[in-house]
Amino acid sequence: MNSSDGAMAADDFYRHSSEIVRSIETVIDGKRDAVQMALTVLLAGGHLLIEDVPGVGKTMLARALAKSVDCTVNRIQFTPDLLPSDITGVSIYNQAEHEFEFKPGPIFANIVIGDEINRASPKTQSALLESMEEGQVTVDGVTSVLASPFTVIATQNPVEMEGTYPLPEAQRDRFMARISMGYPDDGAELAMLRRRETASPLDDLQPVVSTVQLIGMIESVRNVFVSWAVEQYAVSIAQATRRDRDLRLGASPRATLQLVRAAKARAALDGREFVLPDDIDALAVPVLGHRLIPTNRISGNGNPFASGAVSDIIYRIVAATPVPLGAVGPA
Amino acid sequence: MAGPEPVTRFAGGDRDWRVSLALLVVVLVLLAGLHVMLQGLGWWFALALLAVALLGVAAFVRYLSRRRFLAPIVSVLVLLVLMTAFFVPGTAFLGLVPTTGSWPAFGRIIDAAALSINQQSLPAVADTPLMFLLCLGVGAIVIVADALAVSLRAPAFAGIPLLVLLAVPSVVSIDSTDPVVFVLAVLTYLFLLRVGDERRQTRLSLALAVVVVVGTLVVPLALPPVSQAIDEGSSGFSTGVNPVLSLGQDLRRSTEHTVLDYSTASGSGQYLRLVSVEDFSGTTWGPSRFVLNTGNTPTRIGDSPGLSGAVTTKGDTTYLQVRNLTSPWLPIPYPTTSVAGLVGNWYWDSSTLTVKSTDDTAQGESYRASSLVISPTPAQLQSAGTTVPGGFERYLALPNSMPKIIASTANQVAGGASSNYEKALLLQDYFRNGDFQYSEVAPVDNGYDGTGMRAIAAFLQAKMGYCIHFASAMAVMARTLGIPSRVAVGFLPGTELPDKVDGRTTFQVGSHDLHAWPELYFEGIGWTRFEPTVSRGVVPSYADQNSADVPTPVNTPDALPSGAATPLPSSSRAPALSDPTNPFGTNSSTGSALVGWLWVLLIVFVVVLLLLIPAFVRLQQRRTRLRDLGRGLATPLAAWREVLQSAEDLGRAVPETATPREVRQLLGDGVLAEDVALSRMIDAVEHESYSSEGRAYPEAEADTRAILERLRSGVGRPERVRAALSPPSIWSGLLRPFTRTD
Repeated sequence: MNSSDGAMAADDFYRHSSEIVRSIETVIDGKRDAVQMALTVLLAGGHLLIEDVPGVGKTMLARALAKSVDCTVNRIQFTPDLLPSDITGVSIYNQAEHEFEFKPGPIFANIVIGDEINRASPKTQSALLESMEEGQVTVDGVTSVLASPFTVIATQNPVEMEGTYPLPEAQRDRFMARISMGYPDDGAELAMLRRRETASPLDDLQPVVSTVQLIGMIESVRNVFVSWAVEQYAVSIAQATRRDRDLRLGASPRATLQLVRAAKARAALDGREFVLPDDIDALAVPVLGHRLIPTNRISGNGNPFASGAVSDIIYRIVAATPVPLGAVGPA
Repeated sequence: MAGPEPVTRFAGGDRDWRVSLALLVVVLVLLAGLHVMLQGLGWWFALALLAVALLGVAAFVRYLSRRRFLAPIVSVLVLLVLMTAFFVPGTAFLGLVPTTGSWPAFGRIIDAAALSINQQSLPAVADTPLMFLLCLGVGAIVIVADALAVSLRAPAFAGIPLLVLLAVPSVVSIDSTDPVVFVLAVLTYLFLLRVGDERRQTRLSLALAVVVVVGTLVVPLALPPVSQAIDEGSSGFSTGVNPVLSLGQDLRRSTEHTVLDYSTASGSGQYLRLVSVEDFSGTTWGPSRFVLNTGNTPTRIGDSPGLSGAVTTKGDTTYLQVRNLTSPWLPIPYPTTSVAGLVGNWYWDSSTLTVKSTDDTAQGESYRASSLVISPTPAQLQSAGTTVPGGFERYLALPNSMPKIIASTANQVAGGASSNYEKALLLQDYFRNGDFQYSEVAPVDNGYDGTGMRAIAAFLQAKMGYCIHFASAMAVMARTLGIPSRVAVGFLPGTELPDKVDGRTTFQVGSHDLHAWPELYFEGIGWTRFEPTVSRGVVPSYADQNSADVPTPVNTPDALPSGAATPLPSSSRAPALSDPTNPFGTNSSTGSALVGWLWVLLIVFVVVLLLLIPAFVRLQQRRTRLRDLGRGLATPLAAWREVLQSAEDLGRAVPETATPREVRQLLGDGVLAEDVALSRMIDAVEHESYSSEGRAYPEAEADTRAILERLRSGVGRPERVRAALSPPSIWSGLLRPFTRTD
C-alpha cells in the first residue's frame, strides 16, 4: 500500500477491521452484510442511512459500531418537536463574563447517531443534513468546524409508518448508502434471546480501535487505487440510470463519486489495493438505491420509495453494463 | 471489449488517401472482370476514369473539410454532372447542370439501354445507352464503397457494394466469371482491408471478407441464370444485334420457340437471311457494317450485286408473320426487291441487302417480301471462271496469321480445279459427303464453339460441328482459293404446315432452324448460296452433284478422293492449335461429364475451404497468443481473452457484462469452480486491468492450456468439433457492431 501520511500497513488495516466486525457481531447476530456495509461507509468517510421496520436492530448496529471505535459518540432521538438548535447547539448569555457563549450541540462528535430521523420536522432534518455535507455548523454567525472523522448514522422507519416526514431527494442524496437490516433467521434470533436474557451486551462492548487508528484506516482507504477502467464502469452505470425508461430520477454525479469512494473502502476491507468492478457491482444497490426515483409506472402502487422495484432496476442496469477489461486509459 | 471510440477518428490524413488508392485498385480489377460481358476495351478506360474522378473528388473534399458526409454528397453531384455532360449535354444548362429537360432524356437513354440489353448477347457491345447504365451503376457502387471505406472507416463493409460488381458477370452467366479477375479481386480486397484497418476490428474484417468472398461464389449459384430467364419470357427468342454469337446457344436450347410463319406464292420454302458476315478477322465475327442511308426504305430495295440479265430469275412473294424474334434484323429471302407492311423505321444496306431497324425489333412484324429466285445453270456458273471484279478485295481478305491447316486443306481439296464453280463444288462435297458429322455439342466440349480462325482449324481437325463451322470453314477456304465469299446467318426454310393460307403453302420456322450458310460470288450471277452443312438444309440445284447437268469436278494436282481428304495427321498439326485442344483428352460425353463433376468438386472444395477460414483464423489466433504468452510478450489479458473465446467456441459464452470473478461463477458448475489455474489467471487479469501496476504472470501459457483442457473436457464431442471447425467467437465478432446497444 502506498503508505503516505497517516495511512497504515495492510496487515494492520486488516486486523483492525476484523476486530471491529467481530466486536459488532457480539451484539448483532447474523448480519454480516449489514455490518460490513456500515463499516465500509464509516471508512469511506460517508454517512449511513439504516432503514427498516422498528425492532430489527437498527439502533443497535449504529451504537455497536460507535462503541467499537474509541471516539466521541452522540445520539440524537429525533422527535417532531426537536428544534435545529437541539442539534447544532445554542449561544447562551454568560452572566459572569457578560458575553454569549456557544454551547455545542450533540452534532459535535465523531459519530452521530440520528435515531428515527424521519420523525423530525423538515426544518430540523435540514439542520442536520447541512452540517453533514459541509462538515461545519454556523450558529449566530459563528462557524464551528465539526469533528474529524465525522459520520452520521441515521436510522429511519419506512415512510409509510405513521408520523414520519420523508426525507427529500436532496437530503437522501447526502447519505453515502442506505441499508436495511432485515429480520434475523432462526438461529440468530435464538442466540439473541439467550444473550439478552440477563444483560445488555452493548454495555460490555469495549472500543477496539482508537481514533488515530480510525483516521489511519480512512487514510488507507483514500489511497486505494481506482483504475480508469473501473471509473469508466461506474460512470457507465450512472449514465445508464439517467437513460433508463423506468427511472424518473437517475444517479447524481455525487452518487457516482460516493459509489467509487465506497468501492475503495470495500476493496480495502477485502485486502486489496485496487478497486474491482465487483466492488462497484456489490455497492450499486446500497449506494444508488435511495437516490433513484422510479417512474409512476413502476411505483404504481403508490409507494415511490418501495426499494424492491428500484433494486431490480439497478440489478438490471448493472447486468447490462459491459465490464471494461484491460489496462486502457482515456485515449 | 467496449473500448471507447478512438478519439483520433477524424485525423485521417494519409490513411484516407491510402484507402482511396487501395479502393481504386479494387475497383479497377473488378471493372476488368466485366470483360466477359463486354466487347472491346474502351468501356474499361471510360469506367476507370469515372472511378478515378469520383474517388479523387471524394478524397479532395475530405482533404478540404472534416465533415464526413460532405464527400459522398459532392461525389453524387459530380456523378450527376458527369452523366449530364456526357450523355445529355443538349438538355443541360451550360452543358453541365441538368435541367428539367434532362430527366426525360435520362429516361429515354435507360429505355434504350433496356432495349440494348434485350437485343445484345454476350459479350455485348458497350454502346452509348449501355455505357450510361454502366457509368450509373459503377458510379453508385464507387460512391457507396468510398463512403463506407473512408468516410465511415469500415473498409470491410465496402466489400458489400463491391461484391455486386464482382457478382455481375457470374449472375449474368455462371460460367462467365473470369477466375483470374476473381482471385485478383479477392487479393486486392484483402489489400484494402490491410490498408484500411490499422488496429481495429481485424477479426471483424476477416470474417466479413470471408462472407463477401463466399457470397460472391454462392449467391450466383442460388440465382437463376439470366439467359434462362429470357428464354422463359414472353419475348421468346432473341438473336441480339449479333446473331452469330448466340447461334450455337440458340440451337442447343432444349425448348424450341416458333420464330415466324410464312407462306409463299410459289409454294416452295425459302432460306431467310438476317445478316451477312464478311469480316473474317478477329476472334468473334459479327455482321457486316450496316451503312445506314435513310433514303433506303425497303419499299424499293436495290439490285442484287453482280446479277446479270442472262440468268433466269423468277419472282416470288413471301408473306411473313414474326412471332418470337427480338432482333433488329428482318428475316427476308435473298435477294428481296421490296418489303411492304413494316411498322417502324427499317432501312436496307446496298451491299448485303439486309434490312435493319434503327429503333425497333422484328417482333410482331407482319410483312410481304417480294424476292427473286435465281436459277443459274451450271454452265453459267462455270463460265464465270476465276474472274473477280474490282472492289471485291474485302471479300477475299483474310487475317495475316491463320492456322495453316485451313489453306492447306482447301488446296488439297479443291486447289487443282479449273474454275471457281468447280472449286466451290469440291469444297461443298468435301464437307457434305466426307466424314464430317453434325454436332451442336462437340465444339462446346472441346472449346471451339463459335467463330474465328482457330475454331475453324479445330473444326477441320475434329470434323464435328454445326452450321456456323461448316459455313465459315467453307467461306474461309473459298477465300484462300480466290473466291469472294461471305457467311449468311438466318433461318432454314422450316417445316411445311398442312394447312394452306389463301391457297399458299405455309411454313413454320422455329428457333432450331437458325442456320448459317456460305455465299460465294460469281461474276454475272452474284452472291450464290451453297450448303456445306452435313445433314441440314437444302442443296441448291446448281450445286447438287446428283443433278444431271452439274459437272463432277476434278481436282488435278492431288486428286484426293474427297472421302479420304484427311489433310495431315492430326498429331503434326497439334502445335498450331493451342486453343481448342481438350485437356481432358477425348471428345466423348463421359469426358465432358467428368469435367463437369470436376468443376463441381472444385467449387465445393473452394467453398469448404472458404468456410473453414474462420477455423484457421481461430487456430492461428490461439497459437499466436499461446506463443506470445510463453515468451512473456502478451499480457494476462491475452490469456483471458483466449479462455473467454474458447468458452464461447465450446458453447459456454459469457456476457461481456460479467466481471472476471463472475466469469468464474458462470464457468464454474463443477468444472472450474476451484481451479487453481483459473484463480491465478483471474488474479493476474484483475491486477493487469484494475490495479496501479500489473503483476508478473509466468504461468500464463501453462495456465491457459490447462484451463482450455478443462473447458474442453467439460463439453461433449459435438461441441468440441464445432469449436474446431466453425468457431462461433469469430462469427460473433462479426456481429458485434450490430448487436452492441450503447
